[in-house]
Amino acid sequence: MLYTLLKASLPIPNTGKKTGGEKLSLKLATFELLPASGFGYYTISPSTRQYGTHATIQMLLDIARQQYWNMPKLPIGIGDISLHDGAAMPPHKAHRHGRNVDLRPFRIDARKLPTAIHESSYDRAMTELLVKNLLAHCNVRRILFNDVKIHGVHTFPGHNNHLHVETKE
Amino acid sequence: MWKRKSSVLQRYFAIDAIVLIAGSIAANSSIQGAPRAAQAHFSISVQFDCLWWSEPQMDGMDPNHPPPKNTRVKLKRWEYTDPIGVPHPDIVDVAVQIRNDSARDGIAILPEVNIQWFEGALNNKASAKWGRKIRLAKPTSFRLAPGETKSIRFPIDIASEMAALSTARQWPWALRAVVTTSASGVTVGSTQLELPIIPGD
Repeated sequence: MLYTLLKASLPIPNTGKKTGGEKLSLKLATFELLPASGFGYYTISPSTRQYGTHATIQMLLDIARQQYWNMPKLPIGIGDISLHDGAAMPPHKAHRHGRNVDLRPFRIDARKLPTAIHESSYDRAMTELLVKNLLAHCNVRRILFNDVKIHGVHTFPGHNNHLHVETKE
Repeated sequence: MWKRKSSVLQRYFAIDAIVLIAGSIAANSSIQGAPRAAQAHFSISVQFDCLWWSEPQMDGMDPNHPPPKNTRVKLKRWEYTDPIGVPHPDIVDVAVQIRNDSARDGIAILPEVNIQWFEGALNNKASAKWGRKIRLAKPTSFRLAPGETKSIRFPIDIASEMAALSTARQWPWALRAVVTTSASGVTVGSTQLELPIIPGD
């Protein structure tokens, strides 16, 4: 019954085999949409680009809830995750499987605007706390971010103004 | 309009994107019938720019219902790292500004733009190569009075180029524009500028 419902909701059959040049996977049907608003976060991408695995969305909600209780006036800016079917999401190279999330670092003025590690508006202390919370979560595998003064992140070109969070499932 | 910037946007658009050329031409008397000794001088600046959101628009923007982009910003690079804060427009303009610095009047000015894409595999920038030169639509010539300035924009559809390449997992890693300006049939300036195009991770 569940499979039938999933099948009906998908534009393509879910066989796991290549059909018409597209590789299909049953996992695609389990993607969830991050609610456009909630405690402790705000979104900076359209909803069409904010689908993730159940575990990834739960991780985000966990971290955001924690953020809300600790710093209610400093929500996390959440960007791209994946498309609803896990298809390639230009202009990203990754973000295909619902397990990559882009987050904004925090600003000292708490405005819902971008910042980067070399800018005066960048709040290292609060961003470091966010990194610690993320790394303490059981579903976070790795964080790409270029502030080498924050322990636990991995540097990668292009990550001065966002944290690229990879989850395990 | 050329000076409108927000503090956030300034971080991403360097002033050095402007290339300034002081052009000088000995007017061709056989074409214009002007005295051979007469000289005309032009200042020509060229930059990439686009329409994007202003800082007040970005602050707390609902990404599902974004307002129209109506702030013109200078582009040092096209970059997809923040869906709102870092410009990655569908259309990039080559903006050419020409000022007649001389006392001469009635000289026909004609700017022309040729572009090239630096294209290669999305996962391997080293594979990219410069493609063929493409001439943008030729504008009609115009005349500038002494001290007068005119701005012309040549729009380039970056989104369409990306879409055309995406099926083969290709990417336009850079855009090159060569702006050649002539006055009364004589080239007075040629400027080349490049726009790095950086995909998201």
